[in-house]
Amino acid sequence: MALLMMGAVSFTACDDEDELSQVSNKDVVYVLNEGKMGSNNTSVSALDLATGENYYYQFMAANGRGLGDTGQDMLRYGGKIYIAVYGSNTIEVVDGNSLKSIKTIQTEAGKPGNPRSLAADNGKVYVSLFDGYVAKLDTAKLAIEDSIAVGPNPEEITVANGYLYVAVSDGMNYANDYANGMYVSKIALDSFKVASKIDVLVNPTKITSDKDGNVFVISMGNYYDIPATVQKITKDDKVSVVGNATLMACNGNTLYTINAPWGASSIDFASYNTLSGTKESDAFISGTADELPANPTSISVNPNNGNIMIGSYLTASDYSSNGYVFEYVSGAFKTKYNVGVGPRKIVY
Amino acid sequence: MSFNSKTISSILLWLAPVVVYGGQSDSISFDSNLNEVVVDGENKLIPTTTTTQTINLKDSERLAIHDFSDAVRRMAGTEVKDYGGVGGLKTVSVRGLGSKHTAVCYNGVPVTDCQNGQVDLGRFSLDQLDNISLYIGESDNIDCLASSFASASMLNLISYPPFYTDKNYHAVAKITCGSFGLVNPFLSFDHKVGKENSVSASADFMRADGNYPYTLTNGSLKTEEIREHSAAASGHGEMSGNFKFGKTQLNAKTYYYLSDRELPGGVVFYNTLSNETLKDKNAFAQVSSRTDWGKTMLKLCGKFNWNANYYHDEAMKYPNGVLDNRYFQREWYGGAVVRRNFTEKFSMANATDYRFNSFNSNIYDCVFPQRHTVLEAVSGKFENKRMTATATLLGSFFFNQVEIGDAPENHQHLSPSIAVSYKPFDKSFYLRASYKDIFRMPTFNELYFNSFGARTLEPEKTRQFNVGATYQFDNRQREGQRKFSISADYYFNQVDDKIVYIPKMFVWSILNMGYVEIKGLDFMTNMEIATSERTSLFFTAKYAYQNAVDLTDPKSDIYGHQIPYTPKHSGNGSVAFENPIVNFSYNINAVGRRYSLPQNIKANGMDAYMEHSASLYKKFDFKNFDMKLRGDVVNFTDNQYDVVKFYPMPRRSYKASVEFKF
Repeated sequence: MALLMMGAVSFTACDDEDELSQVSNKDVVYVLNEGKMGSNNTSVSALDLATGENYYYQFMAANGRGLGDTGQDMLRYGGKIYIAVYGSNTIEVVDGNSLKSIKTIQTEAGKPGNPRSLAADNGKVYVSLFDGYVAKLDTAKLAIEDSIAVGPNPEEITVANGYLYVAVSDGMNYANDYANGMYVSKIALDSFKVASKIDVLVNPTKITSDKDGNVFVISMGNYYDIPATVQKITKDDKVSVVGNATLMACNGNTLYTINAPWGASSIDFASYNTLSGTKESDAFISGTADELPANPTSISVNPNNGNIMIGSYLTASDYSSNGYVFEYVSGAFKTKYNVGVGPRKIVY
Repeated sequence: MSFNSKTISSILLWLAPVVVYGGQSDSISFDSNLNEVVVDGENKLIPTTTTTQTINLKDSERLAIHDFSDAVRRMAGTEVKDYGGVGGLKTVSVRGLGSKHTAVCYNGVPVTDCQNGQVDLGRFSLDQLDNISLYIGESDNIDCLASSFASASMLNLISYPPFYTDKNYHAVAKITCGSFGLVNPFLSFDHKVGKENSVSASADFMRADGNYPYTLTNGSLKTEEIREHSAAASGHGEMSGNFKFGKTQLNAKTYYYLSDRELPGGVVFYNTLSNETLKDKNAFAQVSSRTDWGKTMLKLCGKFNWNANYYHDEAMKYPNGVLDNRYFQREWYGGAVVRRNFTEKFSMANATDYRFNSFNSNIYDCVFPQRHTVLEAVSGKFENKRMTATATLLGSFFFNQVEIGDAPENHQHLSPSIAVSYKPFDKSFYLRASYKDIFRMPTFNELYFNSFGARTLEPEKTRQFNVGATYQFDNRQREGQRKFSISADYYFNQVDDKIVYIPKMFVWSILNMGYVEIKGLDFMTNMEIATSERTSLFFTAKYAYQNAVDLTDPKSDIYGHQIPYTPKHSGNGSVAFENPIVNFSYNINAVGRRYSLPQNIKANGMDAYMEHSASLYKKFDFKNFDMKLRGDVVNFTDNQYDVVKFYPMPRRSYKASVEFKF
């Protein structure tokens, strides 16, 4: 009941957003909310982790306009924040503190576009384009300087061992069982050329890496009889299965995973050792029903304090209302923040 | 509800007379269906004994109605979803129940879409229509096909009945031109054959460039944009014959429709790219008959319908850069109604429908579904000087088949409905009440495609309660005032097991999970005043209040929120002044604040809007023909608004037409 009241209060606060204003306290983390496709309601929320306060529509407050449709990824690099907005086909580059737009990068009409995922290394920002490419952005000119074909419908990317690892999903080819989406493309960063293709399970979508250069990829399967599976890729391209999960995040040598497959009655929170691949915990967080995410959409670890942050839609079936970010300290529920629709990424 | 063998055998007993009468009549009869409207020619804009509303399209100028969907939104309780522009999809939801609960009939015969469960109103043109009726809940007409009882509301389109006085043919030629490249010619011809038969043919064609300007609002940024990739072209032709054999009237019709349009899609900030196109083809042939033996009436109807949709998109993200989806539907339909007047006050009817739908597509998860539907409706009507009461019990049986995988379970339901009206005084003052319990079956899209587990979907149920009152005053003797009517209805609707679409990654899921309650008020009035011998004033006004709230999950933040695209307040009004120089009419359509998504927050809010339109019209009578000139200015205040968020509507536009009747 208390939670319901809290929800009601914060709802009023967010509906009463006439005084659309930016948070003055700069000691906040930013949350990218994907929004509902077709609704142009991608937004950025700010969370004050010290006081527990939340602020809606920070990009709108800073720039007087919206981010557009279906924000997919956000990256803090070199004092700037890069935001990949898939539906609007833009990469917004904003000031890392004020969120003021510095440049809106758009791909040319007829050229590959639809940005999905971002990674950075050595003065360059890399972005996967759902049209089958990875582009390299020069962070001084803020322009695409090169791009490379990687295969159909690339999703997440990560940098490890001097390479860019790209999950090639072939996600639009569901009619043919994602036939061309069964590998991770490994691109040498110095030459910006494909070094190898690493075979993984069908429909690889999520990818991350630990501090030792171990890469973890989640193949989403076919949403039917092949479940979402985490696989580990070693430096020498050896692939092994870790477990079943739909979301993951690395911190140190721990891989936190969430398994919330479509239609499942329960959500699993298992963690693994990234070196051995063995399970460390079956439930790295715990709490009452109100203290656990009903419909997780992202997980990350705050590098400053190791707290686990999980973004969630409002309920298991509501994909259009404002959601939450849950915060856990040592596995125990600390608080939950009201954020926009579909909290997809947090930058610290 | 389920059936026991006794129910079934009593239904079978009721079926028997159909066979008997069918055997007796050597020819079949026609019905344009609910032709009570046609017969008395009265404008039933204001309902009397039931909540049925009729707009006589003879009055379309007088009401400044400029197209078919505009006519529909003038009816109280309707919400027309309009995706903007000539080619934009238009659907109607009645009293907050959702568009799939509104059936559409053309001359009483259902127009269906088993794939989507809703019919695009954009394809109908006013040129051919005599009147449109909206039936909400139970009506007082028991002469209809069983399908007419099988939905929460029904929109019935009636074409011009052939009617000959001094000559044995009619010909109409009309052309409408308008803003954004609209050109719309229409031709029709009918000819009397023999004493009581006639044949007719008509065709129309419509094209428009679209590409209209609009203002896009993005935060505090306002930009002037053009709605590109929105051209549309369509055409339709039909032929029909009306024949009379003794006591039987027979009508046969063939129909073909073709449309080809660009789909601009919703506006996406910073990205105007759009390559989607859609081609639709629809053909049907139908025969209907009506035989009247005085106390007994028999109506028979048969129809074959074929429907094809070709969706095409081009984008680099697709395998080979293209997406081509083709969908084909076929329907075989047969219906029979027999009505017997047992006494002057009491009659009963039995209606049976059979329908077979099949579907195929090139999409990867097509399971080639088929469905047999049997509807059996038994109704009774009691009528005396003071009271009219009708009651219907509808039995529905659905048999599902698929070529691949397991078929969904078969369904059967019993649906009761009742309507009573009472006239307590000798004046035209009526009190009315009705109740209807009905459902809609999941569509083929919902059951079979892009989803998992949807085959277990249950029908979406609705219950409608209505109480209302009408008063009509008609005093043609008294100077100044001729006619006045007013009505008010309060209703309470429930939608249970609401079918909800849930997007997730690249797949959707569809569940029966919603519960919605709608409390509403419909208020309407109209007035005709003869201001002098040759001038008249006409007024209409409608107001609707709807409190339509989602009560699915008490723990959810959106519990109690107004459902999307349902304004609390809406209304329209019109004024016309008819005179010997040039007639003038004006209409205002006002829609209050509403939300585009289930959560009632400011970000999802859509501003209230008003749309003003005006018409000038005049009829010239020449020796051998009539000519009608009409000019419309739609949205003359140049207001920018969306009906569906990010589907901007055109601002001010013009239309002019000239019509010759021979």
